[in-house]
Amino acid sequence: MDEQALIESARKGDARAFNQLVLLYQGMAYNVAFRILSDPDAASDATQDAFLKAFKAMHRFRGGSFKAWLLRIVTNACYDQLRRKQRRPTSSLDDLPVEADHSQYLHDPAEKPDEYVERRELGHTIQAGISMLPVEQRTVLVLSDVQGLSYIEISEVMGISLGTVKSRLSRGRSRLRDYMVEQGELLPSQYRLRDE
Amino acid sequence: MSRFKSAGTTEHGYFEERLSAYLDGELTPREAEAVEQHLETCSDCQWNLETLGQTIQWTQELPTLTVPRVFTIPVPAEPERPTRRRWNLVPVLQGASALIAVLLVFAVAGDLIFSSLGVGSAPDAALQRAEAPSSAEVAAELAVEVTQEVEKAVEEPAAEPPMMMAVEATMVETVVETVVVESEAMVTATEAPLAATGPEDAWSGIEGETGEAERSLGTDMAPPPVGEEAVAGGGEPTLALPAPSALLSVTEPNTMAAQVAMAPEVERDEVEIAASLEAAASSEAGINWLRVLEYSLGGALVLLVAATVLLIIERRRAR
Repeated sequence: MDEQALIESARKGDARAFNQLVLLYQGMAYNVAFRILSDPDAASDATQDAFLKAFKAMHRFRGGSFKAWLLRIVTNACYDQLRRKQRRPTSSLDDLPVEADHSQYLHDPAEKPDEYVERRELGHTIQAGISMLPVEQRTVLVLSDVQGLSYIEISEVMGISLGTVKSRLSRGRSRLRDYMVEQGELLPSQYRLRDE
Repeated sequence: MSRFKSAGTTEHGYFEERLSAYLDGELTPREAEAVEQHLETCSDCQWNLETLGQTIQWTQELPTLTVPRVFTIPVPAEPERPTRRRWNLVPVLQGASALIAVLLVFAVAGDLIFSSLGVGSAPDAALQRAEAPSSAEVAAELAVEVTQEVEKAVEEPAAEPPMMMAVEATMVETVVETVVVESEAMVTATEAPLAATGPEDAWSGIEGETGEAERSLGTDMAPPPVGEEAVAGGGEPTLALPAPSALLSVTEPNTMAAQVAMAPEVERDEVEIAASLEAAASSEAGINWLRVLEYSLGGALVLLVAATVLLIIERRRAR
């Protein structure tokens, strides 16, 4: 059954068809949530909440990009998680973000162990930089540079204009770049940005 | 707090904000050309462009994380399979019962209408059936009167010669036969209704009359009637008795003439009787058909109501 047929069945309340869509999009949803929240547990909660809300709201889906429609629900679920986190400030080590599963870094068999460690360190630094961004810029940057959405798709997901997408993305990238420059001393030499 | 050179001038800030879109190819050709011209002369924007590109590349190279678990939503319990759809027969049976009840009402109403129409035809037929024997009685009375006349003639002293008596006896016998034939015709006209009451008496009366007439053949001394002269003088007696009226006038002219005058009326009555009988028969056939329909509908209605009640009871027990 193709995606459109699954969407039509899910709109009629078919949970099995919707779960097929979940299996198709759960990786994207979880990665977006994790990059926005920087917390695997919060990302899991946001992803689960997003799919539940999406299933309840399927009858309101009027066509168009299901991916964009779902990502908007995911980002809103992430905002809900962030608001909860603000009401419950972190006070213990248990609340600190834990490392995500970095086994994906080992996809290159030819990569040496030290290279793998360096690349993982770079990934941590980038994620830390993303988490420092304002949430609107963070979301735009994640959708653009992590998920590869176009400006139009981002404007559709976030419900903002193309100009706003451009400006938020530009500022977010600049801030992340500045963060990476600041963290240059902690990064391997090949990952250090040349200071001006 | 940026350690990097930000837009010191309006022109520099304008291009610096567009470097991100320039890297993504989201600028119009004219904007892109202007950015490129600015980059040729602005080292800060060159640095910005280079570091931004590197940051974007690193971000894009972030690994795709595997999901820690499956996020499928809980599927409701297996929906009840309509293995065998149970049709709810109660409304169907109720509807059928109502329909048959309506039909039954129409049938009863039609029966009543037919019956009310039959009040004008069937009772008339019955009345005419009651009157019908009177026609046979007329013939019987005629025969009885003829017999009485013959007996009276037998009781009188025989004055005529045997030959004459023989001729007269033959004549009387012919007269009796004629009367019998006429009675037969009348009986045939009245058919079944007459057979119930009058015909047997009529036939017996006629036969008795014939026997007595035969017995009186040898002693009949009565004066020759009017027709007798023609018979005596003319030859064959049958020719002298062409019609019953002539015979009737022999014995008792006044009474018999009146009775013979009634004959056409009797025939007309017989035709009307036959017509009314046919009408009554058709009316009875319609009524019988309606009765059959009423009984059928009534039986079906009873069966349907019983089936409906049983089905409802079974449903309640099942619950």
